[in-house]
Amino acid sequence: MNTGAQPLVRLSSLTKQYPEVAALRGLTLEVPHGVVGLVGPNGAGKSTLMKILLGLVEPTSGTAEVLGFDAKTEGLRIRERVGYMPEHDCLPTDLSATQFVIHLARMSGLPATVARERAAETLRHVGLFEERYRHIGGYSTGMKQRVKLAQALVHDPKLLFLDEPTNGLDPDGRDDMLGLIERTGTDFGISVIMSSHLLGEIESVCDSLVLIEEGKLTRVGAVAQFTGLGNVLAVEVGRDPELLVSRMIAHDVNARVDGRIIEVEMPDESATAEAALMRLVVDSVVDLGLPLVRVARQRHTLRDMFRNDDPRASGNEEAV
Amino acid sequence: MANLDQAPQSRGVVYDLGYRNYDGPRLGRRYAIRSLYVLSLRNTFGLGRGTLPKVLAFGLALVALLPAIFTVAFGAVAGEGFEFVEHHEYFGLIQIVIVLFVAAMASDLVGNDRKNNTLPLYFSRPIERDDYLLAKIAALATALMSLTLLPQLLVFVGNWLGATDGSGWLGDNISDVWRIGASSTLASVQLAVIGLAIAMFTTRRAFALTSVLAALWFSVVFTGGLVAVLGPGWAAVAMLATPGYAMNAATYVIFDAVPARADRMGEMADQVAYADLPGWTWIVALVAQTAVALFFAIRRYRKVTL
Repeated sequence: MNTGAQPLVRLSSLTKQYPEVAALRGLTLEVPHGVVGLVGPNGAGKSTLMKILLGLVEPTSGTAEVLGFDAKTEGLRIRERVGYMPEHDCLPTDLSATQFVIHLARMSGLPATVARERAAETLRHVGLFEERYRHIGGYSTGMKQRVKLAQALVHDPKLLFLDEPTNGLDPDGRDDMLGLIERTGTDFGISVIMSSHLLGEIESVCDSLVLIEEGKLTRVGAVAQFTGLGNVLAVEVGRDPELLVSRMIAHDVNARVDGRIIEVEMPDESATAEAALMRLVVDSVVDLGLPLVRVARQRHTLRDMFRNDDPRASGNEEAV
Repeated sequence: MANLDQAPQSRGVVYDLGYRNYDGPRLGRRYAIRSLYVLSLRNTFGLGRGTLPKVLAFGLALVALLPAIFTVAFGAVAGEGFEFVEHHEYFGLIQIVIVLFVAAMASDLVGNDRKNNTLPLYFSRPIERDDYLLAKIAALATALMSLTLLPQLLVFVGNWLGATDGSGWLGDNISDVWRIGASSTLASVQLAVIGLAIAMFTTRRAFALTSVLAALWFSVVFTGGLVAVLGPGWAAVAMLATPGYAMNAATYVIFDAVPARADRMGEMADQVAYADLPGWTWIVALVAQTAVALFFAIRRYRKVTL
């Protein structure tokens, strides 16, 4: 992987104004190498951003650089080095996966024999075996998604753009696809920029994430930084949680009931604070004679980002 | 290729049967355009596709060759002086076959990529939008050469072999070779560009097919009717604006075969004589029609949203 100083993608005041709507409003940001999640609600501008980065759509103003090349003027150089898996159906029906992927490999500049070899390898890599000789028209959604990934990967790009790669997949297919993306990113030194509106997916495969909402950048950073340990102990008791809450407040400790869970706030994030608070909780529970189900330090999830400062997102199960 | 050893065997047992990194040559834009051209050309003749496209393409090409085959066959029997069809008449004779070929293939060449939404996959590779169009036009024009150039050459060779004095005949007629080349190329490029420009405005095959037929075939019938009732000036305008007329008239001019008899009720050649225009106007008209169609086609593809 390129570990040089150059970021994967660099945006500066990037704006895209369509006649009716502003798709992107002044994005400025540097994206690190690795597997990057592009998160945001539907219509946030994720697909538009990808197309600008591929040089397929011209930005209204601002600049975008991919792998050090300007997206506006050096689109060809970028497209030689990246692979793109669009969100929607984009496959012919009357060709076999092999024929089509070979053809696109050549379009990416691979000599004919190499194109044949790599098409076969890449299709196996994504899990298409004998089926690859059949016409794509008869494929399931899962198989089509695999072909779409294979065509993006066949020329061994430096960077993969995946637009909602798990779209339309069942849970098993989704897990397979995510596993494949993770392996591609970690084992082959290919950076990935993957858009999704499902936070769970981003959490499980991405190193870092970029969150855009209504065309604006809201968050950027390492996924770990958003999913680390929180400073809250989650306590579950068999009955009367209010009793424990009032006992905690009597001890000058913040606590509140959230459903069946009591969230007890730690004074700071240190291990000693955790141990002390844990002891206090357990002693209080025993003292009150409550049945203790469990007590554990809570982890942040990406969902917390929205819970904190975006009330619109709450109550929306897993999707942003 | 170098990283064979690095191919991971341990993880993801099922799928990782050998993804490798690649550091070999990448051949770039011109090669990509050529690849698209070759695939499109193969598609036109149904290669790598089902039986029906093959039958359709080769069937039409065969019909277009029939007059040439007859010429050669009868020429061999009847000897010198027998001419079943002359070079300047050939395109007029097989015009409907050529137009059907264009109509069927143009909608396939550009319609399928739009219908299946494959354009984002092409345009995310190292080509520009005009390159895509160029490859498609070149593919259709090349395919059309087998319906224009090939039979004309066959007629030429047939006449040559039938001549009693072979080398003498060749000396007298050698200039026909460039005439054949020039007229076939002009006609093929004109029909390819106009056909594709029309076909790319719809993704519906039946629609594309009828539109191309209307522009290239019914327009000839329509103009024929107009010319019969118009004075020479307006008749000339109508003919200049009609692709089928421009193509045939340019061919007469190239073979120096515009008839002297001007008759607006007669055959196309007589109508062209009736218009009484200098020869080069027909060639300019053909080139202009091609350029206008190309302009609209390029504009169409630059504006396509992905």
